[in-house]
Amino acid sequence: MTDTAPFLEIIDLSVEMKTETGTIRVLDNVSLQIRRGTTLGIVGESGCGKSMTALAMMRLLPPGFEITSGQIILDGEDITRASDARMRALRGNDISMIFQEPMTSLNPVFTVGDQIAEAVRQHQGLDKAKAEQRAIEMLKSVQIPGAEARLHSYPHEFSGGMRQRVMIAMALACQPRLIIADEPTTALDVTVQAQIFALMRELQEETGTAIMLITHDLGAVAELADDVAVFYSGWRIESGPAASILRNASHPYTSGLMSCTPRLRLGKAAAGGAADLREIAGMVPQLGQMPQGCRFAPRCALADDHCRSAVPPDVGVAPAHSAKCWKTEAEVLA
Amino acid sequence: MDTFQRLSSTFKRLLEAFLLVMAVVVLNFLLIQLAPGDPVEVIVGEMGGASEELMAQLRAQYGLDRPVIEQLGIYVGKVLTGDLGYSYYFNTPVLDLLLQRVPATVLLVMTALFLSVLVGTIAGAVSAKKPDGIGSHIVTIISLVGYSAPVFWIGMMLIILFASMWPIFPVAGMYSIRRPDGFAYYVDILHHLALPAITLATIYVAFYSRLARTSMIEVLGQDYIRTARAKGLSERKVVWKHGLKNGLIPIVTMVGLQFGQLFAGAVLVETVFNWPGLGRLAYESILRRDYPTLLGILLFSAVLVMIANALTDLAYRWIDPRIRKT
Repeated sequence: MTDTAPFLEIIDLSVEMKTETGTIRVLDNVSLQIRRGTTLGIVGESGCGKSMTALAMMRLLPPGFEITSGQIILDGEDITRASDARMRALRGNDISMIFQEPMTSLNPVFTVGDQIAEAVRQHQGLDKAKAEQRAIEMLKSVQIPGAEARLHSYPHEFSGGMRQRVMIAMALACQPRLIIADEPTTALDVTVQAQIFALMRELQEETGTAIMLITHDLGAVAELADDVAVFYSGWRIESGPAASILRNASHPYTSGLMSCTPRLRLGKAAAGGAADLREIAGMVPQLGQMPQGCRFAPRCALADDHCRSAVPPDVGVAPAHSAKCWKTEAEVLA
Repeated sequence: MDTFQRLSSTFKRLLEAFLLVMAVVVLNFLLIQLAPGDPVEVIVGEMGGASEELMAQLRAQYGLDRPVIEQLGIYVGKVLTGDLGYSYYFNTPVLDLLLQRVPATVLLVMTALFLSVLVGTIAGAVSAKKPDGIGSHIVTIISLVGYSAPVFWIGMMLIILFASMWPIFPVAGMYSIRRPDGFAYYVDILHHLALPAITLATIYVAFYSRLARTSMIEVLGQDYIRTARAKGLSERKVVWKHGLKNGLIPIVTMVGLQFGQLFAGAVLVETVFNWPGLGRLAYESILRRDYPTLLGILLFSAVLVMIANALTDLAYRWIDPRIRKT
């Protein structure tokens, strides 16, 4: 397999939620690729299907949710319908996940050392002493001071940033080939966010693991991601190389997102002027009441009747860069 | 310094416990004074009648002719020296009487407690794994029945079914009339223990299965359970290791709080099954107006409940690291 072949490929994945009134499609024909050793940033508002994609990849969808079509291919193996036993062997070993909430994602009644060592013992069959040794190494690699002593601490004795480091240590313990980081810094304050991102990049350089970074922080994407996928309302509406997307956002939603990122202008702030915060008008459609055509049309300044009645195709705008929009092509041609 | 602090906090707790026991003693004594009935009349009644003179002599002998406050003073003073007085009825020291009966009650209560926590927790946890499954509904229905059926009724039903219609267990008592030796002696006691313990445990099995179900449903929805699954742990480890240790916290709390109620339940069960423990003795002592014995039993129960609470505290610390002192 060459280096450019995708390590993980998602093809036309749909996830549906069963409710009393019917089924709701929370992910609609989503396709993604992650190349070996690279970072894919996934961007979008809350509820757009970012986390659902991650949980579908882990095959840990909450009760009531189900993959209804499509494929998830990990290193040539279709895991969409892999057995529970096979998935357990993959989870924590080949794919691991860092969750959004470091405060609640660690078990309060076991020591952090036990929780890290557990994964190693599960997958690599190390004995207790060796697994503990590995846990110390992992705590050191995520730069927790006094790792030997901290091994026997409980999660409540750590700060939020430290807990997220423990989560990262746990996720990396078996040297997985893919890490899914679901908004790993949302619950942390800004200085700690920068530390965590720096740590992730460092560890990626050392271990060559692929990362899927779910975030709504475009700054983080610019800093860490090689490729970007933008989600809106269960659709992947734009994807491509990070540089291409950041320079040349082709979907109106993506360009809207970028103009929403506040930029600090010292002169104005010092003068006490109001910060220039922009937003995309309107609201994300309710999952049960999707518009007929383009899901973004109700909020889109460019939308016309065609947009409102027909689902847009994926339109190539640059090498490996496409956007799901009727207007993109017209603009490119113009 | 550290040892000193620990010692002084232990001492403080012991002192608190002591004061609490004394308060229980005084309160019980005064409550019994309020109750109607005269021990001397009961004694005389058992004797088949006696003269006024003899009754006055008995009153003087037992100190019942003195003012209540003086009686209380004498009783508290004696209790402090470890003397719980004489039983009016058995004419033996109350302490001896209690020491004879305590093992039977402790055996019954602890067995019932163990059974109910074990069975209740497992049933609750299993039904929490699939809250809408058939197993879960069966557990809910059985626990509802167990919770609402009176203890004495369950006891009598068990006697009718398993001691009379299908006699695999003895009807009552703690030993066979011909006591076997050695190992068979203990087996014999266990054989007698089965029905009373199950009777006493039933309501608590129901209670703990409901508690465990609620607690485990909540725990299994927590983020750290998802983390455990994301680690690739088996469902067995996720539920019975990561889930249960958290789910046990409210159960341990309730065990500590309910220990006293379990004693109250033992009074009924011991009476139904003629189990020679403190509960039946308490019931009989009330009927016989044997107040020293009754007071002794109440004092003993208070001490046992306090010991149980201290043990609960320890268990709690063991399970939940967040409340351990650093």
